[in-house]
Amino acid sequence: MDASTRFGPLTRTLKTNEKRKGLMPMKVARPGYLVVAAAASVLLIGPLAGQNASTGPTPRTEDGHPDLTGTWNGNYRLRLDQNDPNARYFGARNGSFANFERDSSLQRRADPNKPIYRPEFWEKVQQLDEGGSKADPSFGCMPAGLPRMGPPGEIVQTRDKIIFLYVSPEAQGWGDPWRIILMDGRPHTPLKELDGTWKGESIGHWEGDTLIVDTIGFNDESWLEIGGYFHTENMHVVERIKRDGDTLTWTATVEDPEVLVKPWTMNPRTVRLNEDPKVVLLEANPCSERDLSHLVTTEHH
Amino acid sequence: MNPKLLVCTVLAAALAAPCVQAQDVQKTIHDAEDALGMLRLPQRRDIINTMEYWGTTATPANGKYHVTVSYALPAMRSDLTAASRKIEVVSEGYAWDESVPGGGLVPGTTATPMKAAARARLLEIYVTPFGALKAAAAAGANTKVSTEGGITALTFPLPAPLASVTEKVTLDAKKMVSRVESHGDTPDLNLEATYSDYKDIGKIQTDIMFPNHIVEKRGGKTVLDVTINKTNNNNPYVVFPVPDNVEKAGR
Repeated sequence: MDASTRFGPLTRTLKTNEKRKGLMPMKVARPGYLVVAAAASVLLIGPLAGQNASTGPTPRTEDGHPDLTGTWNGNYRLRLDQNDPNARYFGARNGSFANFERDSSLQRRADPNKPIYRPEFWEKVQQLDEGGSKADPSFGCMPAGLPRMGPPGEIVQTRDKIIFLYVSPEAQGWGDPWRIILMDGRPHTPLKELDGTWKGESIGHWEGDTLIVDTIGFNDESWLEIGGYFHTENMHVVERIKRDGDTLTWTATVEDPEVLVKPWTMNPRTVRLNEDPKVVLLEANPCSERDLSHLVTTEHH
Repeated sequence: MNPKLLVCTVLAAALAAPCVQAQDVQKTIHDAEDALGMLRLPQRRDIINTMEYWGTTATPANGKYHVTVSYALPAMRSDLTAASRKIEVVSEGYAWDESVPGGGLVPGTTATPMKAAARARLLEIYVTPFGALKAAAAAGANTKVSTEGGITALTFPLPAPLASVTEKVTLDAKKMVSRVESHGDTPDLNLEATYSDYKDIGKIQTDIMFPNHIVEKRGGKTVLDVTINKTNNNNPYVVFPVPDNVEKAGR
């Protein structure tokens, strides 16, 4: 793969988006960019983590629950101006793009918090990971699915429904950029009556000030994360979302006893409210896969 | 020289000496980590967590050797098949033997608690070149650097529960770990390992230099002589879940 074609356009896109304060670069059409964008976001976790201290009171709806409505992409106020203190995290070791790729690959797999698969699946996970360039559905223009799509970029809250909006590639994949969380107290549709989908059927309820979103009814095509973390159709995901002032903290716990030794709780992710009253999520370009035939290794970053 | 100036000069030199020593230690560790490819990203941080490697052994004769290791936990699974198969695991302070990898978690397989072996198995992690340098960095001001006959060495105590163990890491001319010696309060904590023929032979190129020849001795006797023929150092998926019966047996 021509490294310059993968990295160059993203840089231009990011520069273009400097003017769109508060928005994640979204004018990306090829999954190759996803890799770079995802790696860049990983690199940013450290320096931005300290900026997530909440401020201000938590607004509430008429029925007394926290009001989650808002655009939650404050983490992605990226400006690649060389004077920006974050810009240094986009560099490559010794200025080499190959080093950027290799280091990002290592970095994304360094997290000790891993799902614990049953021993009979250890080799399968490794093989999927090692062949990730072709095996990872998200790398080939397919949706990320839940829980890999992470916290929503925007939330619209009503009494009976909460609507989650996502932006690709921030959500690490393509597909429908929305979810509807049913809040009317109905039970889940029996699993055998659900057609498995990438995002499943989500039923929400409040536990104190925390929104609990319980989801079943998946297909088995998505991954939980990079690294070959597959799952079955019987996966059950419980998300916990809590607003504290202008920050939103999201965690997800995955239960899939057919393949996991025990439930896996992903690392919490905190996003900040975008305070620009005029902000709107931009439309992502359709994903058109044009990279895979040019890959020379199976490495996936 | 003005006596006051002399006193000030001597005092300044005495105060500065520890700083110089600390800088030497940090630079020595940094250079050694860099030589092995441990320092990554523009910030040059150690982001090595897991490794997996395979080899064939001369000691024991005609053996097959397969190791997975997590430095973050820390944990290690050592799978050696020679005259018989022996799978030794240590993770989160627990030690056990497995009948197959993941034994005790799959019906028909077993995990046998080996509580008394926990410290010696944990030591094996810190005796690897990567584990040794991580431990040297973690020991902070307790790590000392010395140079004898042009050979640079780092000496430091290991973290609990191996706090009684002192480790000495010798670096070669390329600043790579060539020898690690441990000295503890029990015979099983005295180990000497030599490393040579560093290469990156992984299917996925990581630029991590791995010793392709490893020799371990106890009491001067070679207990392991292995030639590495395959590695996966791209922080591979390796896990070490503690079986229920092992957890019940305790640390």
